[in-house]
Amino acid sequence: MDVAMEPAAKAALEKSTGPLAQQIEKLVLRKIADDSLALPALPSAIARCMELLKDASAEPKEYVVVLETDPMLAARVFRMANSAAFGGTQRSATLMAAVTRLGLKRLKTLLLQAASERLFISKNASIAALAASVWQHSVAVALIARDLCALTARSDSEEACIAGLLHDVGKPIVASVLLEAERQIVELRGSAWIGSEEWTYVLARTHRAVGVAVAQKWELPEVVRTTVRDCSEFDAANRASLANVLCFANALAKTAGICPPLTDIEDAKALVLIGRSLLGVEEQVVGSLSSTIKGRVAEVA
Amino acid sequence: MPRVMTVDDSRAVRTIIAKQLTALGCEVEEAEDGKAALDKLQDIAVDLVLLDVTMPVMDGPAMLAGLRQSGNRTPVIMLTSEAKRSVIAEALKLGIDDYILKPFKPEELAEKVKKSLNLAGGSAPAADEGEAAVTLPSPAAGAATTEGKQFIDVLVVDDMENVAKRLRALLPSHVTLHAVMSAQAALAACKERVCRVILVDYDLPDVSAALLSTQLKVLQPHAAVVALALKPPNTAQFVSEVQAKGFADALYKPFSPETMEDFVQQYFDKQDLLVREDNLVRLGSFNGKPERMERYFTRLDSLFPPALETIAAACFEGVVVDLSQATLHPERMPRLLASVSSRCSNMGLRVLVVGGTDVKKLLGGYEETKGIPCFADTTSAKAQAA
Amino acid sequence: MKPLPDPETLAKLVSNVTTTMLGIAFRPVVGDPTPPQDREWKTALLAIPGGRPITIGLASDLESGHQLCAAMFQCPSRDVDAAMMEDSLRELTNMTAGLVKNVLSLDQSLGLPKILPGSAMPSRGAPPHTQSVMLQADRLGLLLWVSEGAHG
Repeated sequence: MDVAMEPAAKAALEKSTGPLAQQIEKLVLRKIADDSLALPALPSAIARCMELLKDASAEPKEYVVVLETDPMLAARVFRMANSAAFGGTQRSATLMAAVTRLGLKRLKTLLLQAASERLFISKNASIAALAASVWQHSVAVALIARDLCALTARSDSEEACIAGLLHDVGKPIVASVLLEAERQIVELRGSAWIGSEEWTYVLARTHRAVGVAVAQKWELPEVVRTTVRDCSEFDAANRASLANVLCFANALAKTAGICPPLTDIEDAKALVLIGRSLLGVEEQVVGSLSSTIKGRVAEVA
Repeated sequence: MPRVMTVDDSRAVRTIIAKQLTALGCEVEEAEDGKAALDKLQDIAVDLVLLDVTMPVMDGPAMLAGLRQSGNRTPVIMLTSEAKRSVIAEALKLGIDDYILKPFKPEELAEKVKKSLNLAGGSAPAADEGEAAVTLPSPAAGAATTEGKQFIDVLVVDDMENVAKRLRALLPSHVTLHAVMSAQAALAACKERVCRVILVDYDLPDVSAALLSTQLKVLQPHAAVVALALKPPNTAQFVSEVQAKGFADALYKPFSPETMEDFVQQYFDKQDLLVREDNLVRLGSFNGKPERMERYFTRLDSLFPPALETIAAACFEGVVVDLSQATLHPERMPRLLASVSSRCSNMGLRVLVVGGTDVKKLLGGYEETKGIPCFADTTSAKAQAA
Repeated sequence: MKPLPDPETLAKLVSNVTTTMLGIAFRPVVGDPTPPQDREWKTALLAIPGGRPITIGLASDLESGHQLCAAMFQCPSRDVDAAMMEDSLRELTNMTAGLVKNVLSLDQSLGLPKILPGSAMPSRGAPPHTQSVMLQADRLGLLLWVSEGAHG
């Protein structure tokens, strides 16, 4: 839970809001089960590209045909291929050149980043600010998790990156459910519903299940789903799990100052310390990751 | 000898810790609970405390609170089976340096103890720049770890195999090269070898190149870490960008013989351009294409100041500059010598030059250099400058 | 509320501790037979009090306990005494309990391990309120169980 407060206050909040959180959790899970929760589908162009990515024999021109149907996505592919990181003199003049330059691995991450980002854009003013900050945080977690995997002899940096992008994807969706419930109650009773601390508590309790459901709907690998599901806590018995990497990256992004509102920084610091021991991360790696992450998020998000 | 106290109700754990830390060269004190530890610490000072959480009589958090209340700021590492976040968060507020979760591996204990005690082989203590500080080992610590390791001139980190192949084809055969294709392999190579230059693909797919560069520099503090990138439209701006991210410079793809010639000169021919022996500075010749002459003098400009500082620090009266092998550009060489003469004057050093009649003629042509004495051989010049 | 870990998970938790600390990997005994009654046993119990009280028990026969203790203290077997053996069993229980607590996502503090008097084979409950596993590494044997509620 992300709310910064003393243990006694936490216990009181759990007592007062726990039943409500359970009800909302049940409601959301039921909606997921009977397919009545409006889970976002992958945008069609992205879905078709993801299908192509499963086919090893797919040619770059096939991606180009699909990308041309989504000008926003095509522009994003151009932008990344022509970014400073890829050099500039030989700018990709065609979409084909841009796709070839990026390579399929980067294209996949770019597609999922584009798909995830759309979920964090809300027309509702009450959610928009929260969603925007959660998106920045998600990008930070994705980058930290990816780099950590690359630096510690792991081969699952791509899955780490995707799971990082999606680990909080349930938050804006649950926030919409909560807002709708609030609107109905306020209309019915004419009174205010719950305060921001309770709101955040319910969100924290409920959002992971939705994130897993989104990952399932998008047919992402099993490891991504389990990582999103399990990344709230460290698993001390399975030190090398990807969920532990993500839990650590999540905490580190928070201590580096890229965090959603009402984050418990003391709790995040404790998680970083525990995670360093569990995962064997050296202090100077933590320092490097922390000191560079804000700039890197600004480049990507 | 650093003194470490282990506070744990398990004699087995205290024994394991004592054996490991004694092997590291530490003196180890033992206490079986928090109260016994506080009592002992009234009589003896230690450099580090390894503290369990759950213990009879007085637990770890209570002992830590008591320690801090008494004004004792000795570094503490928590070593415990307890991973309850609120317990660790409270301990952090009271000031713990680190945390080790049981069961623990000997390497983790050794690494964290060495780091906390600032012993060789552990990471250096964090700089006092807040949480975001990146810590690097001291050059001395880096040098100590380089003994007995294989030396390589160039380590290439690029996920494209042909990059290293192309480099190998363009580099002179005496320049040794080792290629790896991932961040992890690069880190492993840097633990096993000593490198002069590390070329890092600026666009590695799975990791931030800047982050990797920082980690490589920790392992290889004396190596130049250079970004490998496609040539951007504005190279000056790009070099500033990569330098801000910790790289020494940039090298552009695709490689050409000319860029590689520059690269080799920059990193591998330095020693031949300017060689110092006591107060004698010998300049090497320039063998490249005429249009690259400016780089030769720019490099000499940059190599002179540290050489002069060393000579001044050794209390010589003068510096002898041997130009007998140097390339005598009619404008650039006098300008270089004028700059050296001015710098020497500020340091209280005289400048004497060794060279033939062509050198004498060259110096005599400019106001700033015509007063510099010129000798036919180094022996007579050194006799004047001792 | 997460269910108590199954025998396979319990075996992994113990082996995680013994592999890291002693370099000894335990595996579950197939069929989970009743431990031999004719041997003498040492048993350590550790309670995790709180909203969901849990008790963890770890028992070893004397010969196994002797050898594990020698490995823990990194000393010859002949130097092991009863106090050392009890100490190492308590610490193995403590470390295992930390992992059990983590698997159950319990936000509760660990209690202190204690040695049960006597040398009888410990009695253990049955699922769903207790989960247990017999473990083996060559000739070494251990019995681990986890129960709902505070016992001992």
